[in-house]
Order: sequence, then C-alpha cells, then structure tokens
Amino acid sequence: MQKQAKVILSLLVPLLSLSAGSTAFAHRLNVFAYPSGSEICVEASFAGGNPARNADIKIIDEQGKVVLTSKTSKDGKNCAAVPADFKPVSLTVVVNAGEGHQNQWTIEKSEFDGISSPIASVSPSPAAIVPQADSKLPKSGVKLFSQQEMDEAIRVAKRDIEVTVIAPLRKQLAEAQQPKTTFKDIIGGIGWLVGIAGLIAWFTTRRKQK
Amino acid sequence: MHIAEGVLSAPVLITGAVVAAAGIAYGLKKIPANHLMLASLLGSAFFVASLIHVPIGFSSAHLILNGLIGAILGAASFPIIFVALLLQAVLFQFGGFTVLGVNTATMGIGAWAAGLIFCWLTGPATNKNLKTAGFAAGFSGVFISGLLTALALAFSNEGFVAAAWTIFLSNLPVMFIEGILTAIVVVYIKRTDAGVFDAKTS
Repeated sequence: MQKQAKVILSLLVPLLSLSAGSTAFAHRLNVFAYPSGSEICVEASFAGGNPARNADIKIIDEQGKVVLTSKTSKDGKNCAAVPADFKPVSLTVVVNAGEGHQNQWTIEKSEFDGISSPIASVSPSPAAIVPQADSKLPKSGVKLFSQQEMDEAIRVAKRDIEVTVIAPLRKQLAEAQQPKTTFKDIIGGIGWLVGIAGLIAWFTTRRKQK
Repeated sequence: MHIAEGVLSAPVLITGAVVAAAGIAYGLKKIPANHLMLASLLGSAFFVASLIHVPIGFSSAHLILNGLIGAILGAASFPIIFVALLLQAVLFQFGGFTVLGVNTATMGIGAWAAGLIFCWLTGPATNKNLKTAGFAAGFSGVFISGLLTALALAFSNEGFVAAAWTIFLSNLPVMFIEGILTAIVVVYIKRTDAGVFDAKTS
C-alpha cells in the first residue's frame, strides 16, 4: 500500500508542477461585456487567455427577447451597435463557444445611464437664451455658440470620455471579477480528495473492528 | 470537455444524473478498502490534469487521464471521477452542479471502457502487451468520453455531427498524448509495483 502510494505520488508531483508552471489555467469560458458609447462590447476567452474565436453571442433582455446576435472575431472580441430603438435595460450576454462551453455576463441597466442613447435622439433644449446674451457681450473676435451647439459639444465630450476612459475601466473591473484558479485551490482540492479517502478508510476500519 | 451550465436540456441532465448515480453506486462497491488511498491519489491526478493545457491551433484542450484511471480502477472510476469533478466545479468553476451528472457519466463511462480494453489486451495477469494496452486505454478514454460528450450535446442546438467533429479535432492531440502518457505510466507501475493493478480484481 505504501509503495503504491509512493508510485502514484511520484506521478502526481510532476503533474502538479506542470500545472503550476504553466500560466495556462484550464478550460472555463470567461465572458464579459460592457457598454461603450452606443455599442455593446463582448469579450470571450478560455481560462488561460486563449481567445474564444467565432463564438456565438446572444444578447437578451429581461423579457428574454433577443436584442442582438453576433459572433466573436479572431481575438475573441466583438463590439456591436445597439438597435436604434434600444432603451436601457439590464441585459444578459450569452456566449457559446461550442463543445459545451458556454457562459454569460449581465450588464446592469445603470451601466447605460444616458450615455448609450444615440446622440440624435436627445431632444434639443430651448435655444432662446443665446440671442439676448449676444447683445451684452463684445463682438470682437469672440465666437459665441448657441445653446444647442454647446449641448452637442458636451454630449460629444461625454461620449468621448465614456469610450476612452470609462469603458476601459469597466473592462478592467469585469476582468477582475473573473474567477481565477490559484495554486491554493489546487492544493486544497487534493487535500479534500485525500481527506475523503481517509474518512472512508476510518469508517470501514471502525466497522470491521466492531 | 466539461459541458458548462445552461447548455443542456433537462431530459439530458436527468439521464446523465441517473447514469452517473448508477455508476457511482456500482463503483463504490468495487473500491477495495486497501486501495482507497491509491484511488484518492488517482482522483487527485484527474483533478489536476485538466489544468494542464495542450495548446492547439484553433482551440485548446486539456489532459483528462480518465483512461489511466480506468486502467487501474475499472468501474471504481465513477465515484473517483465524480468527487474530482465536484471539486473542480466548486474550486475552479469548471462545468457546474446541474451538469455534474452528465460530466461524471461521460468521463466515467470513458474510463470504464478504457479499463475494459486495457484488461482485454493485457490479459487477466496484466502482463501482455503493456505498452499497446496502455496506449489504447489512454487514447480510447478520451475518445469515448468525447463521443459521449458529443452525444449529450446532440440534443442541444449544436447538433451531434458538428459537436462530435469539433471535439474530436480539438482532442486528437490529447488522445495521442494521453495514450503515450498512459503507456509510460503503466509500464512504470508494472516495473515498480505491479500490485497496483490488483485494485480492479481484489
């Protein structure tokens, strides 16, 4: 018995070191998605970092209605524009990479806050203030913008910030939320397996003694 | 080859759970008390093996080692694989709880069949064609489990032929690697401690 354990242990140790040495950690499909401007970006990769290519993306809303379908590209990513009539709701992004690999990610309604609505759909605010202000200000070389132009500029700036600053942050947050396999988990699992065997052995010997 | 949560329909999940339960019940009786530690260490090997990636062009696959487990434990592979899969689901989020039955059934039947092939090739005394039998066990373990996984997926929207083909292609290198690995291991065990092979019969 001791000898057998030694034989198997001598096989287990190289296996362990192999798994610890490789940065490639197993076969779970990681999915995350985030809104970027008026697009929804989806990224899918296998645990270990290999991108999930050509995987089916299905985005469904709370009622189970399919909002968008697409496929990931070579790098496992895809950004698709939301339909023109899209209203911010919580969305579930389901990615299926075949062979039984599927996972999903939820985008909360709050993540869309105002920004994802297409620019044209924002109603123009009253532009009546500008002409009055006009007469009080010196006219030399200063270009004055109408209220509408200002709103438009602010909206564009907001969108720029959304795409260049907030979307990457969202992406990082989503990435950080993906479960990681650590060495601790591996050792813990082996401990469980050996422990269960020990328990069963203890019970069986007790029964025999009785 | 772990099927994830939410892919399979209820009838497939239930069938898998029933098959797995039957396999576990039968397998538990087949674990001899004096080989318990051996069984748990083989379970550990299975548990760790799926973290070892084999990078392949368009996809990636991992070692399974169910052929090796089947060659040594036979039908007792079922409960061992079940516990290892359960721990993988808890600790690594591979597979999931509802698909545990299906995954246990596909991997367990593969292991068992590989064990039968191994016994058939080596003879009752485990002394003939060890290299060939080891390779056949390692290869067929992955192959049969792949086929069964495809069968389970046949009832999902993927379809049997497409699923079987992608699984076969992405696991083909794994089949050869496991075949060679299992052959090396059984030859090594035979030389160092042939008593390990008594686990099936005692």
